[in-house]
Amino acid sequence: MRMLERELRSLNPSVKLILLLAGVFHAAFLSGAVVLLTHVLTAAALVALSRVRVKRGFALGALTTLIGYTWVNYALFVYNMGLAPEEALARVLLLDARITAIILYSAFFVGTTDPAALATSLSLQLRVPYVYAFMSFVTLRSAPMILGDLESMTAFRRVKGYLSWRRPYRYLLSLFMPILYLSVRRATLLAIAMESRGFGKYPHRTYMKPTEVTSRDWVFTVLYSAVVALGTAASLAIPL
Amino acid sequence: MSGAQQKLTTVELTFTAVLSALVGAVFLFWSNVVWDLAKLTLGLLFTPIIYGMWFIGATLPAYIIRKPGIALLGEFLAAVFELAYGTQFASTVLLYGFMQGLMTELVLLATRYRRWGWATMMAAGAAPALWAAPADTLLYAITAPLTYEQCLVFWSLYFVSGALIAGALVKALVDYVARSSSMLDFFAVGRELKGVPQ
Amino acid sequence: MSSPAVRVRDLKVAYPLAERHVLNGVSFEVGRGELALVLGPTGSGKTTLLLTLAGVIPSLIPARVEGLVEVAGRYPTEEGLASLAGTVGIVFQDPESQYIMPTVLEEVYFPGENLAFPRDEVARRAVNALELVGLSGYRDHRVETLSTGLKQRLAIASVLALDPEVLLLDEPTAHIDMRSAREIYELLSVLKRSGKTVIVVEHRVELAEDIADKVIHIRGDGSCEVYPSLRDLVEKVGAKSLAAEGVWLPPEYAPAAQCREARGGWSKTAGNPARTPLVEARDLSVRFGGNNVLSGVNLEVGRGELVVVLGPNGSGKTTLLKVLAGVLRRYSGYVSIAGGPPHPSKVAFVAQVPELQFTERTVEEELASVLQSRGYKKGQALQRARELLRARGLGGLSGRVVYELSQGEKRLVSFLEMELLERSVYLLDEPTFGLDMKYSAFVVAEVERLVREGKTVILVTHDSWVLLLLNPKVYGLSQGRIVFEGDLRSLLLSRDAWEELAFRPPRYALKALEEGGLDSVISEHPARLRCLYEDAGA
Repeated sequence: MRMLERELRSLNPSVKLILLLAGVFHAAFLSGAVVLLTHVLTAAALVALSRVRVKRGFALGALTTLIGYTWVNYALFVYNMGLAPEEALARVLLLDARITAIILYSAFFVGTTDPAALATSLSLQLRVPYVYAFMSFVTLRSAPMILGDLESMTAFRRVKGYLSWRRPYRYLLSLFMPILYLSVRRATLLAIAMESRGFGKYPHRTYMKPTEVTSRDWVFTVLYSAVVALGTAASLAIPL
Repeated sequence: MSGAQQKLTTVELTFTAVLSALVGAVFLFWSNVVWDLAKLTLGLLFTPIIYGMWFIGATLPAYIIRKPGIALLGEFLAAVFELAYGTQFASTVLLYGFMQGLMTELVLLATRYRRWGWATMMAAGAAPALWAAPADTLLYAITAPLTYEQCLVFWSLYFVSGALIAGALVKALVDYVARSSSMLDFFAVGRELKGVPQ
Repeated sequence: MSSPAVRVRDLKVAYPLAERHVLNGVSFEVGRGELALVLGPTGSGKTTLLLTLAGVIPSLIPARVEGLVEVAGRYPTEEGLASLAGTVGIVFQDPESQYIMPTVLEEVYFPGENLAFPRDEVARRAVNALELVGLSGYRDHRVETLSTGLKQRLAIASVLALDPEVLLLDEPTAHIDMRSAREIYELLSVLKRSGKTVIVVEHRVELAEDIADKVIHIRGDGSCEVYPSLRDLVEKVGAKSLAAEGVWLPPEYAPAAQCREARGGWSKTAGNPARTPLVEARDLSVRFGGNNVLSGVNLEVGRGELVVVLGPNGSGKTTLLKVLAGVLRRYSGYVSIAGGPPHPSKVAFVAQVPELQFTERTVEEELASVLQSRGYKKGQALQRARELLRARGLGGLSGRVVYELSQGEKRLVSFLEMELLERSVYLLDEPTFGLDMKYSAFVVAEVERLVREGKTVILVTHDSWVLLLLNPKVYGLSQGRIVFEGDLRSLLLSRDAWEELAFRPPRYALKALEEGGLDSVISEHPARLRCLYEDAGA
């Protein structure tokens, strides 16, 4: 099992992305019960086998999405489209299955993909020029700083008593200006620091930790396609 | 503009990347708080009136920098941010980011990156809806419980919201900042608004 | 060997939208294996000079450049920054804005990868660079977990991975503690001896004094003069003049006669011990995601007392202030401010990064907005804001856009706006962060004023030198724990605590510790120094 987990986590990010997207499209276009069940089970299996640790924020978001989706759709099916409750329920369950599959695939992707590996894979496998792909590193690096800044800024505004009397759009503007200023400053320094170390000098570069498409990825592709094909065949055989 | 001027500088790239982190943070807030709030208060049919916020990753940096590729990069990087921060739609978010950014990019390409008036910006802001509306309908079946007429209203709100939030609002905001401070002097928008010869 | 590594002749640089030249006729030469120290007032062309030498100007930052610039046989102004990668390396003051990769090793791989070296070469250079700066043990650490001092060393390592001939450093110690600063200059000394040419902008000149082969003084009008040593510069230009430019000169340079009257001599600010403290923390602990940011912190500050919490980055200082300010509520233990729980309305909190406080466009609007939140009408608020600025000698800043001010000016504005809240407890987060001596002296004067007015001030810093300009009660915070409590005198005598607190006083204090005269260091010197800088700066 450990080996399986390790293998799943070492899959090439681009391969994973393409296959999962194909899966999502497949689930969307052939949205019969059997197909959707196949996807939900497959996605759940992937999440379980690679022992993804789901973060609290993710789980919460997923849950609220599902609940909101279910509730709103059911209500609208019954009152807006005048469907009988049983039919509405059936339709809602199908939709829920689709969303669940997408969420589980997403959990698998996020839980097993290192953002740095994804950025490298974009340049190496998908042939995105590395100067663009590497900007992912910059965005990810800036993220905690910006979130920290936003938190500090709201704290200082509370100390100054700024919120209580200004209209909301002014408040947001007062947050936007300093962040923009700090962003320009950081971006300029970062750009100089990067270019002075050769960034962008040549169109190609060496990768110390390259991502590759290995036999592992081919095996996964074949297996996944087989599962999806089986599901499609089954759905044709069992009309639901 | 000469060809050399159209090449992206590293500062423009890093600025787009840093801005996309901010945009991504806004996206997170918009997805997790505002979307659900809107569904509750406005009902599903009118919820897309807030959708335009998810297109600003493309229009905001593109309007500031005014060079090819920025709209696509900005929206994609904001999607990368969302991915890293564990959006529950991780599997499709990158594709959405890419396609939405591409739609804006195509509109700007059509204007040769030279027109930055209200009409262009509203078109650029509405363009990503060309992906978002069909994709949400086909992939997420978001319009399943709506009648055909309601779907039309629903989809058109994507475009309206995009034009207003990602187009007009972004333009107004950036114009204000570029005029009232020197922060953006370094980029195309600052230079043009302050009349520095190119 | 005969031709100099860096040669500049009659360099003139002017930014677009600016009428005057930032650098106006600068000429100097620096030989191979030499270290040149660049000094000058804030806003003069020091950074511009370094950026031009690196080729950032005009390729990345547009500006009009005239004159000859030759670095290691190359021409930066013509070739541009990217072409010079490998020949010239540049390091800035903010280590946070210089790294992009997640781990230390990847960060030193980055330059070699960019220049498409073969993999074993990239690895070899990376390992050598890490060893040179002493970070070999941190190979797999995530960069974000390093202290700023180590991050700065990593920045230098990453630049060294390309083995440049010339190294340019712009105020490399501005954001880091004094012990790490010393280590960085030891590193520069090693690099110099190995044949590299180093040009460094530094206002804490004591750190570079011994290894500098020449001093380049950029004057306010953009011209420059080269001196063989710091002493020479001080003799020719004058201590007061240099002080006005923000250089940290030791107290020996303060003309004793004029500064005899110790202005605002520190009365021992320990409040009446029997009175209940105004700010109190008992067994305060804060945990973030598995880390103990603060553990069992005990703190007592009496009314009207000045307390400094000293500690390196990551010791939990800002977290402590956030708890006291009432903006961080997840903590265990007992905290009381003025007899009640902490709340944002009870304190005046001055930020480490002033921009985070600002909400308005111009300085007067910014100050006015604080007054408006207290109930003033807009017109009245603006009026009072202008008056206050004039009273403090900052009238010229009234109509300026806040984001266009210098770091020091921004800091003063952030101070002023917090004063307008008229609260009794002040929390200052690294108030001298990134400031030169002149503005640090202004900050010290502000702190003095607050104490004179009877305010309670809790100041958090890693700046060992500024500590000597005050005479506070000191709490030493290291990795979330209080490891020292006492006055300045006991701190200076407790050498074993210095390591943990990344504390290292300036040379004149070290000398006094060895040769005697500690009392004058604590009581007289600060006043003389402040006098030197205030007169010159005000």
